[in-house]
Amino acid sequence: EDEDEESYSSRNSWRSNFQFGSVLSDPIEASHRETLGLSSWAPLTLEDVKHAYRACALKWHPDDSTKAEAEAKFKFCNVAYESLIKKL
Amino acid sequence: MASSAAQIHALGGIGIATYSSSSKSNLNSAKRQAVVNPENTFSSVKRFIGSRMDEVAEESKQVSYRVVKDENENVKLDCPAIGKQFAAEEISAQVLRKLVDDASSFLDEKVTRAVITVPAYFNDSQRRATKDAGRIAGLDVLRIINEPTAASLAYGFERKSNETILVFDLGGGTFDVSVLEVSEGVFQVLSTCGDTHLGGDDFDKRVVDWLASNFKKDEGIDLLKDKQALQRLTEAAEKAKIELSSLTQTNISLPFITATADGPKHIETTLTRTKFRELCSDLLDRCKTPVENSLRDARLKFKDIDEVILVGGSTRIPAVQEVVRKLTGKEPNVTVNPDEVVALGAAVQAGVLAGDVSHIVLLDVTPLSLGTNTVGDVRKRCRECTTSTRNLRGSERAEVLQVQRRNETLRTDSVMSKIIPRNTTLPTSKSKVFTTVDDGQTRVRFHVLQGEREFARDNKCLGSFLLDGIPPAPRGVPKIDVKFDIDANGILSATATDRATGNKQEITITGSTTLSKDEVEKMVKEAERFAKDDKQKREAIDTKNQADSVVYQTEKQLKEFGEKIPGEVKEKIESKLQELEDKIGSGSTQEIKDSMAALNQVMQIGQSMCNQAGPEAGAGAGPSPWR
Repeated sequence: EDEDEESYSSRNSWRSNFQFGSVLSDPIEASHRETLGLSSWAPLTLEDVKHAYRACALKWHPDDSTKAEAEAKFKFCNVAYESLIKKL
Repeated sequence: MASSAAQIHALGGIGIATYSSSSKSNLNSAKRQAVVNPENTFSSVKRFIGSRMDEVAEESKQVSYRVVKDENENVKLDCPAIGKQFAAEEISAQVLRKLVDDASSFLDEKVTRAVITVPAYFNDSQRRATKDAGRIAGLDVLRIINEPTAASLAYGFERKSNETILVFDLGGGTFDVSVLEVSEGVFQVLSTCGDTHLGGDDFDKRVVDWLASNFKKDEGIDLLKDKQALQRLTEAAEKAKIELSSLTQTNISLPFITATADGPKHIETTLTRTKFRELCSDLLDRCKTPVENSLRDARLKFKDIDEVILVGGSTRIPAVQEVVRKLTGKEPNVTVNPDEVVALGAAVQAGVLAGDVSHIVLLDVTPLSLGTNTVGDVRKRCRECTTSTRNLRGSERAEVLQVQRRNETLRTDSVMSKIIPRNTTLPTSKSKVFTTVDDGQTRVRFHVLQGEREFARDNKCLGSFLLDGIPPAPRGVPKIDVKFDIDANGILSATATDRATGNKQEITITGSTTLSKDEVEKMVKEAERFAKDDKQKREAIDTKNQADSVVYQTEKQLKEFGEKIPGEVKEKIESKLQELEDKIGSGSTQEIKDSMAALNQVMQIGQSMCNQAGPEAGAGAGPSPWR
């Protein structure tokens, strides 16, 4: 049941990109895209997701960043990346 | 900042090279020592670090020294020469200390911080034990990094292209495989796999067993029982193995290996490359599984791999290279020095951590899954339980509800529920919802487990904690959130929160399972004391040498310029000189120093008088008598 719903929503989100412009029907995907700094309407490609994730890693990985919130931010990026990559 | 970075670089560079692979300079003298004094010479200690006796039973039979267990089943290494049992951490600390000293004297600066590498497939306990070893050696260990990942850093440091690489790392005692994607300065580990009980030492062992069984067949004597003969066999086996990397056959000659009533016995034989491959065929087969598994975990095919990089001394074995070639269908990349590349990578990471290297980031993973004990998935095992994921709302829907026993100790039938799966990028936080298995259950003990085995007891237990005070309720009703967190430094913490009361219990895994905090503290102090002793000994020797040369110089000058100074002063100098000579024979370091200072004083008086007596004579004396 869960799986059906997931694939349905991801199919739908694709369609809605084009039907309604900028609004994604899947709020989780929308927030994941936002986390990685990806456009909320463009079609998802493997290259784009990877590139965005790398940029985030260079910016937020605690080894490279001295900012206090870096670790938490990077963990969000990880979650977003894992989730988006599964859809591809 | 720059100088501190340089320190770390150097240690990374030198430290790892000797620590991980067992070859090179000072080990040669240790190897000679091993033949004469097998019970007191330690090698391959890395195989025992952070382990319990039952985990290393096989290895402990293969070394020349005695491996014993303490009251907690932890491994200790027996050193009969000084009547002490050492933890593997202490021996490793000695190695690290020597490396730090070498690095310090090379840089002419004190080295205090380090990046240490470990096999990627090391579990948490082995990593922490390695960190403890660093602390015992007086080091601030900035990071423990994985050897294949370090190798990839060194390899990809200067390249900017987008590549998927497979690192095949077969060292002296362990085997690792990592698949990485390197692009835009990001080194992303996709998967890692390995075998912590496979390495060059096993190849040597095969040759030793072959030699010993042949000898037994011919002479009826079991050489494996004779520690000294075993050590000589091992040495010869390793030499033969190395020679077979460049020759197709080699001679093994061991005169006077043992003696019987008939007289001395010798070994004189030839080993061919083909025979060697045959002896090691199952070891070569064992190299295949981790390669296949790591690719599967990375969801890649062999055709997706751009480069295969060989790391570790054992990858020089032609048969190993052939396995890689056949398996991957690629010519392995041998441009990197397999002994040094890991150390270079550690130095790069040290640079990143010190802020000297930017635009490079290493995304490493946890090699083994982490989780806790449970009786299993509710949906599968407890259909009578009222909870199911269907009744939960929103984001909880995706969570799997697990049931938890109250037992203090791990039951034989409890299974491991994974919370952080292997190959998850670090740092990370993950959580799962658990519930109770009995009606009215008020307490739950969570064990923090690491490993891939189905049953909890087959995995490594890193620690446990108790969540108490759960309000009595029918089984399956309470909801307990269990969160596991690994930070960038690899510190693992686990938290359990009862949703009804907000009650929270947590554990931070800081130490290894083999040594307690107190024990490490004690060892740090002991090592510091030993280091102090060593320093004093060195100082005594240095002072003595200095005093000897002062005596020589003074005598020489007295002979040359003795006539030019008044007899009174000359006598004074002579008496002080005699005093110093006496002190060199019997006095303490401080006394020698004092006598030297006293002699220096009278010599200066003599020198100035000499200068007054005639400038041409003074010029010859030089500014100071003993420069």
